[in-house]
Amino acid sequence: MNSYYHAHIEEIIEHNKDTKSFILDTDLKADPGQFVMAWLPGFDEKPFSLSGKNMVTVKKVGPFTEKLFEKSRGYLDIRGPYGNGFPNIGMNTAIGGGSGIASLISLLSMDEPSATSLTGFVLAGKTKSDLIFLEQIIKTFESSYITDHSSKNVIAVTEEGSYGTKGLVTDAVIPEAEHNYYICGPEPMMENVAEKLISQGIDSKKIYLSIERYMKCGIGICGNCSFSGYRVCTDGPIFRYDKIQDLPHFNKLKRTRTGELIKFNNIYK
Amino acid sequence: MPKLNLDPPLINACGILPYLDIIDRLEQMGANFGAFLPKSIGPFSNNSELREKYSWEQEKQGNKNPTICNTRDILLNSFALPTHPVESWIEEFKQSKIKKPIIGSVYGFTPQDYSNLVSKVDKYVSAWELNVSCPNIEPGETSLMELMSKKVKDIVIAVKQTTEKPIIAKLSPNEDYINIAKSIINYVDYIACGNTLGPGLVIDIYSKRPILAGIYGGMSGPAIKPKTMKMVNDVYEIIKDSNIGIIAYGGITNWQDIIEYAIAGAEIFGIGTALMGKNSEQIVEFTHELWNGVETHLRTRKTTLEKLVGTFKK
Repeated sequence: MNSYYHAHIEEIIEHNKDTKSFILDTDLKADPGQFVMAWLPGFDEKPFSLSGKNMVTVKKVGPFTEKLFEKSRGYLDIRGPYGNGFPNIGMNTAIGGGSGIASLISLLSMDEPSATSLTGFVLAGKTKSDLIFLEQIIKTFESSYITDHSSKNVIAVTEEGSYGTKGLVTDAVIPEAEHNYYICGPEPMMENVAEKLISQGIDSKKIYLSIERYMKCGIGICGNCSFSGYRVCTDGPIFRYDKIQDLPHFNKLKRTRTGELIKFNNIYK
Repeated sequence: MPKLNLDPPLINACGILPYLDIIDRLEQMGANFGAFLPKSIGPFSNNSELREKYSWEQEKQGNKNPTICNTRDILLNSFALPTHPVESWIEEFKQSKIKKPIIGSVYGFTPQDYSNLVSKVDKYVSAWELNVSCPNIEPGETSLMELMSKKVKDIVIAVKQTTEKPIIAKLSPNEDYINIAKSIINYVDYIACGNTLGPGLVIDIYSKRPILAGIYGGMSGPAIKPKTMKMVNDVYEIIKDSNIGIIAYGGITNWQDIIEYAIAGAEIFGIGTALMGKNSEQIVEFTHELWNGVETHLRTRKTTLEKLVGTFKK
């Protein structure tokens, strides 16, 4: 008996050359925003956001994800779900940058209440191929319009203008005072978006970010994922912006595998 | 001999909640610990002269993941002492605003490693716990427990010549702790019982590989408590007529466990595995719950912790 679920890979979706989704044979009973630890026996284990009740979406960024990409079928050993999730109250707008879209897509696919409370989705990337799940978001929003006539916005932004609005995600954000904002992407992008929203009158208590740090145990004991004293695995990964915006580690410092505190440049070191 | 007066005598076990920013956060949130232990500092340095002199690497990576394995009954871990340079620890100590006492933990491969590190960090801590008992290794290494258990007396003496602060020797339940305890009785202020048990092994039935990247891992949690309870009582029999105190680590999950360890002979209590899965607010709440339970029991029984220590009747 151990904590791993030996999950059968039912399907693999290739979103672009370095992003894949693995659809597993089990409902992980997770809340949107939670994560799992995925283990490749004899190799390593890493945390991944859930992009659905039975799906993890992975961007190829290093040796572990390269190895994971070699899988064309078979099984994936996972433990979790861990961490908190998005609070999922009221009307919500999701803002995702690149592979950060994956963690937000869980708001659409996990259960009915979160799908209906999500009324806007901003997707941003360098090119159109970075806008993973674009068709699914449009389709889900269209079908919810048929059911309840709610108006839902999908805004796509690409840096070089190959699709949607040309520019940066900060240019595309439309503030709505009543909404909660769920942001996931690289930390500098999240800070920029949050600050832009605040400059447009949004309360920082209505903004939530998904934070990432080098993780080992995933269950709050080893402290490697400490983020100015919060352990991302158990206090996060979702943090309300007003609680973290002034923290010394936010968008500045992270701990490496040995626990050394270093300046922020590459989270995957 | 110098003594720690902790209020309450409740601490975190070394390696759990290991960094100063985490400790600072929990203190600010009101966690009811009497002192905190950051993780073990080891003999690695940014200083090129020192690196050459001692053939030190700059850091010890420790094992890859999985570093923990939670079975139904017991937690195994094998981080294998990931260690970054002492200089960056000092930077963090300099910036720390923690008010409660910090108990430094240190490990090394020679008695001089221990005393060198103690002299560098001494002004930032209130006491020293000497880690001579970590059972975990990166595959191919010899464990600290095996290497150091034969040198405990030399290590304690070397550190005692370096610091005036209380010295805690953290012994392993796996080694000959009775004879080790007897050999250091004149040099230490506390004996900590004990480190993780084992190590043990968990095999994945599908890949037929060990779950832990370090293959074997020290075992912790409520299931090991009877073993540490015996260790505490065995050591108490050795130190009861001295000024030495006992720190109990091993499976404490509720106030009854603390009372039981006190009866066996312990006067300070460390918690570790019980914090698994808890967020910061839950940890704060848990530490209060634990100590309220202890105080209520003592009040009801019209006694004190001091009076309870070592009252075990065989």
